[in-house]
Amino acid sequence: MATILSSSAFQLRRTPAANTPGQHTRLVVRDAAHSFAGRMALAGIDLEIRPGEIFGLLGPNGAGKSTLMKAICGRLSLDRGTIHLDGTNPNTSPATRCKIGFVPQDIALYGYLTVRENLAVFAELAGVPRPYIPEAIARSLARTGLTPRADQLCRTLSGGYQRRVNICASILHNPALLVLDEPTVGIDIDAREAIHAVLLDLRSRGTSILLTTHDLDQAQSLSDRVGILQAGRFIREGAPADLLRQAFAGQTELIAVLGKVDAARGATLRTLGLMPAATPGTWMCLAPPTAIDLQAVSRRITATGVTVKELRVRDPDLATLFVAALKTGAPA
Amino acid sequence: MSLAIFRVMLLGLLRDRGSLAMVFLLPPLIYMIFAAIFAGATGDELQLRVAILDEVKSPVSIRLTQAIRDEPSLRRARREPTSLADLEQLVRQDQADVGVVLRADPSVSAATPGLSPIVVYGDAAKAMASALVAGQVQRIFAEKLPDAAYRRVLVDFEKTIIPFTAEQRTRADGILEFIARSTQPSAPAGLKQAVAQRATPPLVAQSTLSALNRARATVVYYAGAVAILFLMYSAMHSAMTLIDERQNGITDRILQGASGALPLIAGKFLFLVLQGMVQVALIFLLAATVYGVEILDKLPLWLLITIAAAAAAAALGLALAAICRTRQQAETASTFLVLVLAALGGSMVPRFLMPVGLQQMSWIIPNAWVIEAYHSLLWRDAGLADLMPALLSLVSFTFAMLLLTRAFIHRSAHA
Repeated sequence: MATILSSSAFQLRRTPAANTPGQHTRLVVRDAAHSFAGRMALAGIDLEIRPGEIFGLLGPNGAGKSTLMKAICGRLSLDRGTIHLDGTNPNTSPATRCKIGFVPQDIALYGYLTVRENLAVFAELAGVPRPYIPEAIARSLARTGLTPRADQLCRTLSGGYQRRVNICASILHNPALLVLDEPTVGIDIDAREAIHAVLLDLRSRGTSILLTTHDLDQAQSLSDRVGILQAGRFIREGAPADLLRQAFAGQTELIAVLGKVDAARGATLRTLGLMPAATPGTWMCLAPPTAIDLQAVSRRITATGVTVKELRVRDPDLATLFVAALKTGAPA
Repeated sequence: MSLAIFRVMLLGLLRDRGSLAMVFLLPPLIYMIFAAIFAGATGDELQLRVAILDEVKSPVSIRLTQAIRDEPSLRRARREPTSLADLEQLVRQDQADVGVVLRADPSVSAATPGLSPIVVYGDAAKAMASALVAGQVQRIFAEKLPDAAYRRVLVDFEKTIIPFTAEQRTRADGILEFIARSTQPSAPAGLKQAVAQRATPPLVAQSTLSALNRARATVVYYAGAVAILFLMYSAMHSAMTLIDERQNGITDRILQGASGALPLIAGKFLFLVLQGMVQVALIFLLAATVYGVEILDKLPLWLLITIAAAAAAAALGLALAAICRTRQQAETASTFLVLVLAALGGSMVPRFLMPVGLQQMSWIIPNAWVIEAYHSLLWRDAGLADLMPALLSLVSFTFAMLLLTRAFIHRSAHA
């Protein structure tokens, strides 16, 4: 079988030179469209990911992120369009599907097995030839910093470590493309940073990474490029810095943390140029830095009968862009 | 790759003591209970509790009362009744299975027309018990009190055919005296032998038709019945890991591999078949060692039935787990399915006790095929040709269920 199931293919793909960033486009998605029972989930997606690149896939629930991930992983036949990973379609080629590592949102591990036993099972299922399994396990453990925990039962690990094992189990076969579905949900900051380090290390080794997350800070700090999906199509796509520059050049974001706002007062706040931010209880507006007088803003808001808890100014970030983009939709 | 899944299932079982007990300890235990109950249900080992009331207190009635009490196949009630009302009360309150009242001397009762000297009182719910004890009392009377039995016949003979002369009566009394002496515990062995040789054999002799082995039919029957019941139960519960794996993303991870769903299904199927075979082996090991069911000389065919039965149960379990969306849904469905299949297939009550319509309907149920196959092999000494219909049915069923499993896993993976 001409896949990584054969030891020669496995050896070949272990060579880092094959994954040098910028050499070619690893994943190419063209006009991907798919619908479920008449409901359009993907409405013509174009996407490219290069080796050693992290792409952050963003979007509200139901935007089509999961469908796009499934299609890229080869688990879905598109109604229209094409998906190619290193030139072949993962939906029709099992060998290509094996070049993808998938990290599910849940902890997809056997709790009653040790970390090492879990990895041995998933290495075999991923097609790593048996003689190479111990080596693949040792390498993946080292990359994810899990070597000291290798012989611990998974169910006894903390949430953060379990998340790391979740990733570790998906990189045993040196995937060309790693697809992660919310890899840091429900864990503390230290564990999140540890996972970020793992992903950045994988990127430096040439692995292409497709990451879906609702954590926009994470997306901004990790991703080389992001794409915001809405109703099955990208409404923004590019490097976070470029997108922010295009959207908010010369503007500052005013953040107002407010007390209870009813419908009538909300309407009044909107007339003042404020709009609800991504975080509940928080309102925002964009303006040139020179135009913002915090004392005047505080007086105006208080005059509407709403309590001001906190006012601050910051540079617009991906969260700002996300909210604004979902409001305005695709750029003309 | 299937071996990886097999290993996961095996480690999961070995590291869960509760599951181990449920899979390997409970089935033999339940079988022991069933076998202990039904080993005596054929009648030859029933020890019914009998309460005796002797209203006559004649020498013969006293001897008969003692003979009934000494009978090893019967047990005495917890206390002796003091009156007929008391005896009826004992039977009604289930302190005795049957009450025996001696209301006239059994050897001369024919003198009282229309009145039986012995009456057996039984509960309507235990109709068989009354019949069994009535038969036992007649046997005891004939065997232990032959002089009284002959005297009763002579009285009848004189009354209905021809009276004896004085001389004949004297001779008969002498012989009856001789027979009575032979029944005494202190009687010489030669005397007992001489009387026994002259006795006419009983009118009816019993001969039980059975296979060569000594085990009882019901014990053999319930080995198969309990085996398939627990095969179904364990397979369905073990297969539910498929649902857990689907919900926590393990299936997604596995399906990302080159072989798709095949190693997942094959690994689980292999494990469930092996688990089932061990489970069945434990039950039959118990049947062989405790109840003398002869399996060793029929081992190849027994193995064939066991593999087919375990495979059918495993495939059904996997299909159910593939169809159900949640564990809760699967648990409800499996309870329903296991109980209905067990009831209709003959795991709870032998099929021959069912109404004809139900018996015919049960032929569509794998439990019935498995029970019939084991029973035919171990009780009726059936050969491969006799077992083929059941085996082919089980194999076809297995394939159908595996195809269903694959279709549903494929559907949920691509939904």
